[in-house]
Amino acid sequence: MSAADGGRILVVEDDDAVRTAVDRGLGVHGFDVSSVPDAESAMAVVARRRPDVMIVDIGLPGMSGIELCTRLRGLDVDTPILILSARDQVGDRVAGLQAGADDYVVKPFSLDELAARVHALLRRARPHAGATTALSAGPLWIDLDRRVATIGEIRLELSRREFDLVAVFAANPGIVLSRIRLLELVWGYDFDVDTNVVDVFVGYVRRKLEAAGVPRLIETVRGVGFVLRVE
Amino acid sequence: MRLATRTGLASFVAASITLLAVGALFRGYFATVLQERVDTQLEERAKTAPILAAVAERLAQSELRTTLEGARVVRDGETISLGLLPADPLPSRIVLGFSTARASGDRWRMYTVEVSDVPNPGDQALVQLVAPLGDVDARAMQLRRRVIFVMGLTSLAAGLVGYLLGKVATRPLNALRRDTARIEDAEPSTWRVGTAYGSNEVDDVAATLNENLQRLADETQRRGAALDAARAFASSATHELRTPLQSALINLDIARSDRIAEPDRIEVLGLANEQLQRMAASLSAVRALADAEFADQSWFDEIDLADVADAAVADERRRAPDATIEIDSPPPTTLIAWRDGVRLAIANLVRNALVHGVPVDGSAQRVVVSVAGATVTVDDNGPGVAPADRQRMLERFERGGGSGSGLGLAIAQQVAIAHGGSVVIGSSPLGGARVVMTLAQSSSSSP
Repeated sequence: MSAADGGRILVVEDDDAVRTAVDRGLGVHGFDVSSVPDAESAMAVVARRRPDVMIVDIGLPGMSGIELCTRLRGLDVDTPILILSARDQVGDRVAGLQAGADDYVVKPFSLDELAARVHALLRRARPHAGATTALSAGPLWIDLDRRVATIGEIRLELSRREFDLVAVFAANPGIVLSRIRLLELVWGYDFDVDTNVVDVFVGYVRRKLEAAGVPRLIETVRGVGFVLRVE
Repeated sequence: MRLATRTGLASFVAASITLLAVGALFRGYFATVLQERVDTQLEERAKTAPILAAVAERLAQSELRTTLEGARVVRDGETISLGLLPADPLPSRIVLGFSTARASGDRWRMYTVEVSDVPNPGDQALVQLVAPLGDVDARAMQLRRRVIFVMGLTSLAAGLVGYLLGKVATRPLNALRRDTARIEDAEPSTWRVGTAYGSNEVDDVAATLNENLQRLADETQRRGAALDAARAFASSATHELRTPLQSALINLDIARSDRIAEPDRIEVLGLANEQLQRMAASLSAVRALADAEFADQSWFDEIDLADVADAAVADERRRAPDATIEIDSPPPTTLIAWRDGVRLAIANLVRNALVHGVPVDGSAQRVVVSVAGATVTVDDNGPGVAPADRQRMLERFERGGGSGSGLGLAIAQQVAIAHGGSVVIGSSPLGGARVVMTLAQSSSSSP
């Protein structure tokens, strides 16, 4: 893989040793890496030049990683964000995903795993070229160009990753999609990965669909995955 | 059953029994009085018995017969009935004096006297005067009904009054009960019932309850605090271990890569090694801290503090051959202490001084250890610690910007606490920080 393949990565991590190691490690993998020790500096870097993927530690001093996600999403920055979280920070991790992060990696992680996820997020971040611009499945209507999903007159307020998930379900109505397939289609993970991010996001989407008056549109098929039910 | 209901029922039963007894007595007395009046009248009428005996036959045929009061006259084996008598026959056997008989559904009172020489000398006759007791019995029955009615009403009223009194009497108890129920989902610090409920017995119970609740709340809070401390410690310890592990892992990953130059690989491996050593140091520090926290009395024996300090300083000199560590060679000082713990504590104080006591002006670093009684003092000529930061520096995982585990002073403090002592940070005459570790007050000088 050449440096040309790599995207611009911004690492936000307060521990010097970890930050230096991640910076150097991702550099070896061909990414163009810059790193900062706190969220405030990260905001400043993003304002100057938007990175392609951000890697954000949850437990930052001052402004937390979660708050950073919230602020960036609030400023319509849709750069994919990968959260670094410890095993005992489950609540923080969920809050981070809710705040608009795309996925998380549990510390301690290996460099290869991190690099693979960053690659996948980069691939997904680039707009997919397709012939279709609109999809409809049951009560769901999706405009892929404008990235708008509606149910009847109600517009669903979806984060970027939630929208992608809904779009994948809408493109495959009535077809049971496994977690691995969803990770591949929505997150671009074509490698074995240990995460429950699919379940977390299906949960978020379900809650939003329910609020829009269509509960149980996405059903769990036990032991297999999920399916968008259309009559 | 509620207490007020109990007192209500008890009042009702007590009133019923009392009134029943009084009612029965009163009715019996009343019936006796009425009957005695009848008897008196009969005796009065008996004075006319000779006349009746004399004129009985004629009266029996006269028109007056039916208007007369009832009487029977027996003469020569013949009975003449006069006046108001029951339709059914009265007993044919006639007894002298008073007697009572039942006929035609009523009771009848009879008084029989004997008369002689009427109407002719030598005649013998029995005259029986008869009076109906129907009226008397009816009035007694009426009285009985009234008594029962009044008694019922009175008993019910007594029951109601008893219930109300019971309610008033149990009001303090109910107030206590409500207060107790409120405790269930309250904060332990607010576990308290009132103190004055207006009844000594209830106030006594409340006081006892408050004492026990206080003890329980204290215990709950102590446990909660201990649990929180343990959780915070576990979380910090995990963080302390995870962070160097994470960077070491990545550095090893980098070193494995075929895309880096040889000098870089060696540098990265060196970093990984450093981080793993940092982990190892953190691990032993955490272990030492846990040991100090649960120090067992059986680990304590007689030690010479000066000797232990000497050994600890010798160790540190070996670890840091370039540093200058002086020891104020004191006379032997014996005390009962945990030898390994004290040695570890002194070692940590010295290491702390070596790391943080580097003079800012570039002059030679000096660390001086002095022992006096049960006190070990470590001075340095570094930048010192600002008074505001002194207490915080003793806390776990508070590293003063250095590369230590952040546990050194915490370990020394925990060891001192295990001996009933303390660690205090101050200013050194050398210009830097002075850390004073005091062990048990129960020290004794050697002979």
